[in-house]
Amino acid sequence: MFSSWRQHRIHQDSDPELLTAAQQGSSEAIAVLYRRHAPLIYRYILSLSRDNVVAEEITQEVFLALLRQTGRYDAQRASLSTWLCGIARRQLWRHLERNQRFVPIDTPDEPFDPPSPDDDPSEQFTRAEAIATVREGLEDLPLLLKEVIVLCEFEELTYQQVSLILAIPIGTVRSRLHRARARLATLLRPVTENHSS
Amino acid sequence: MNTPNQLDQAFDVLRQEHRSIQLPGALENALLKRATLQQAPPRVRPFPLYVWSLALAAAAIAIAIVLLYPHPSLPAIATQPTTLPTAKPVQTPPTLQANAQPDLPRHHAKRRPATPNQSSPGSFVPLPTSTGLPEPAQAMLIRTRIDTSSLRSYGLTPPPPGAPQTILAEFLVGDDGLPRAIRLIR
Repeated sequence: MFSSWRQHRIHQDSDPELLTAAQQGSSEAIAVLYRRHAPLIYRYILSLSRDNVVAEEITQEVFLALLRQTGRYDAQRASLSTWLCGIARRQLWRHLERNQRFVPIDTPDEPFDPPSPDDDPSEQFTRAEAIATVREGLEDLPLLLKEVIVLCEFEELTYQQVSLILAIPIGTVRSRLHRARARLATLLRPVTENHSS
Repeated sequence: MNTPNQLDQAFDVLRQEHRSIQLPGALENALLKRATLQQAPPRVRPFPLYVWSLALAAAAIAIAIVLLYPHPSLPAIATQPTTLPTAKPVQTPPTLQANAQPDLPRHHAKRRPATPNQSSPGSFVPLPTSTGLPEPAQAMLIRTRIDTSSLRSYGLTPPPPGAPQTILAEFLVGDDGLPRAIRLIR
């Protein structure tokens, strides 16, 4: 009974509390931290690298680094997820530099797009086209712009969080996001024009 | 439909798609294993049995050598001239007479015949300068090479002409640093 109560309790612990427990060797705390933050790390790295193996390896390395350098995390400065994303990003960049190449662009699978009952068929076609175009455009974006889209648009992190992860000023985050959106919008123009005509 | 709206709608779909990415289930177990290994204190690997056997054998040999090997005696007295003469403490004979032999330690008496190159030393002759000096409680035996021309000053007969220029001699020096007697070795 006590263990189930403790298990229930540990899920409510804050990140610093869990970190302390993890440092003392609590595998439960490590597991909770992992389940709480690993999905974001994994998605982020997978979106940028398009490589499952790399994403898995870096996600593991990030958590092992967290356990090794628990003392370096400052809860006053950034949330744990932000700090972990920063570590993950540095590891990814190191990986890309080591391999001296950028990750090859794969054609991702067609996403599941539930039909909207109120949309007419022509608009649905344009919408599907637009999604495919944005997806392709996203793959063609330079990594510096792509990661801003992933973090700001897909993960819906704040500018402040993204600036901490990327170690750049908030203004730079805004300008990169603007440039990335402008590029993708340019790609969408012919689709919109075709639909209008 | 304008472009920003289309872009936002596309982002909505892609966001859902992005958020639906699942972590591989095996990753958590692998991480926990690695974390446990990382956090575990370094395990001291015990030495295999044969290493212990070798160590014991080496220790036994070392002990046997120490016990069976004869203890090194005092360093042998130099037979060649040296910059610093070799000094050796000896007991002062009860009465220092012309024919008296110094009471050397036992191992010295035993060692002497073992050195074939060493000629048998003569008897000690009291030095003229030692007259009236108190009898020392302890004395040092100092072997050195001296010039034959200085033999007369020690109260000894100088060698015949054609003899070597130097000769090996032993001085019996008291604990007060003053020489008491001399004998010629060669």
